Amino acid sequence: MTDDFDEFLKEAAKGYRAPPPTPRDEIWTRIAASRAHHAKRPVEVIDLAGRRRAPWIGPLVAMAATLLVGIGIGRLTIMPDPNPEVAAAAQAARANKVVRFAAQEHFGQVNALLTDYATGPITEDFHADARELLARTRLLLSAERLSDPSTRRLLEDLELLLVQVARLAPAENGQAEERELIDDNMAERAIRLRLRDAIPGGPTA
Amino acid sequence: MTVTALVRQVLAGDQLAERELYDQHVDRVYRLAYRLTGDGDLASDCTQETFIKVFDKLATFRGESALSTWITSVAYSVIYNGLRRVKRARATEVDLEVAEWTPAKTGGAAEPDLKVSLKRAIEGLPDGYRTVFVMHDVEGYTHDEIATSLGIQEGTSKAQLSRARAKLRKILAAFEGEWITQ
Repeated sequence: MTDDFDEFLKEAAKGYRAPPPTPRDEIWTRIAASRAHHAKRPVEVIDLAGRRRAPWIGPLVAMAATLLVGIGIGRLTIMPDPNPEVAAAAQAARANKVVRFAAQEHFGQVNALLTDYATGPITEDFHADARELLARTRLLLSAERLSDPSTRRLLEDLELLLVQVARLAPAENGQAEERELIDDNMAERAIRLRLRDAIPGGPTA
Repeated sequence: MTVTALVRQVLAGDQLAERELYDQHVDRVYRLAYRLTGDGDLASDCTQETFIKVFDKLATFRGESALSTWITSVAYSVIYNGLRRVKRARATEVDLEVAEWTPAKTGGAAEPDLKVSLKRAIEGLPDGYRTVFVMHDVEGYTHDEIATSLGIQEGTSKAQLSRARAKLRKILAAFEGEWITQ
C-alpha cells in the first residue's frame, strides 16, 4: 500500500507549483548587465599632486551636468509663446523628461548594486558604489523638477536603504544583523519590485 | 563539448561558452527555484543570482561532483537565503493543522479538493522535508545529488523524504481510496 501511495503521490505532486517556461533571455540580460556593472568599476585616479580622487566624483559631476544641460537646453529651445502659461508648461514638461530619464538610469544602477549586495562579498568597491549612488539619489531628490510623487517616494526609500547599505560592515564584523535590517527594509517597502517597475523594459544596468 | 572543456573556455573569458553553460543548466535552476518559492519574480531573481555566483566561483569547481550538482548547491544556497529574506513579508507557510481538514466525499468531485489539499500539505511541511520532497519526488533529483547539493548525508535525505511522505500520507488519509484503487 505504501508503494501505491508513493507512486500516487509522485504523480499527483507533479502539478505542485508547476513552473512556467524559463524566461531565459530576460534573466541572461540581467546577469550580463550586472556582471558588466561589476567589471567596469571606476579605477581610482591619482592626480599630479598625489591626492587620491574619490571614484564617485566623476559620475556624480557627469550626472549633475546632464541635469543642468538638459534643463538649460530646455530653456534655450523654448520659442517665444504668446501664452506664458503654455510656455511654462512646455518648459516644465521638458525639464521633467530630463529628470525622469536620469532617475530611470539611476534606478537601473541601484538595482545592479542590490544584486551585488545579494550575491557578493561587501568590499571597498561596493562601499564606494553605494556612496556614489547615495549621493546621486540625494542629487535627484533635490531636483526641483522632480514632480512625479511615486518616483520621489522611491528615491526617498532608496536614500534610507543606501545609507544602511553604505554603512554595512564587512562580513567578519557581525554583518548578519545589519543585513537582516536591510533585508527587512527592502521587503517591507518592496524595493526590488518597485525598482523593476520603474525601469523601462526591465533592469538593464 | 565536454564539461571540462566548457568550464575551461568559460574561465578563459569566452562569452559564447558562458551562454552555453547557462543554457545547459538554467531550466533546472529556474524550475527548482520556482518549485521552492512559488513566485516567478523571486525564481528569476534567484536564478540570476545563482549564475552570477556560478561564473564568479567557477574557478573553485574541482570536478568532485557533477557540474550540475555543484550548480544546484549554489542555487539551493541562493534560494534558501532568498526565501529567508521574503519570509516575513510573504507568510506563505500554512499550518499543518489547517491542511488537515476533512475533504469532500470521495468520487469524481474529489479531484479538485485533493489538489488543493496536496498543495497545502506540501507547503505545510517543515522546510527540510519539503525541500527534499520537492527535489526528489517532484523534480527527480537522486538522493546523492540532493545530499551533495544540500550538504547533508545521503541517509538524511532518505530519512527526510520518508518522513515527508509519512506526513503527507497522514494529511491525505481522507483520499486513501484514490491510490488504493489504482
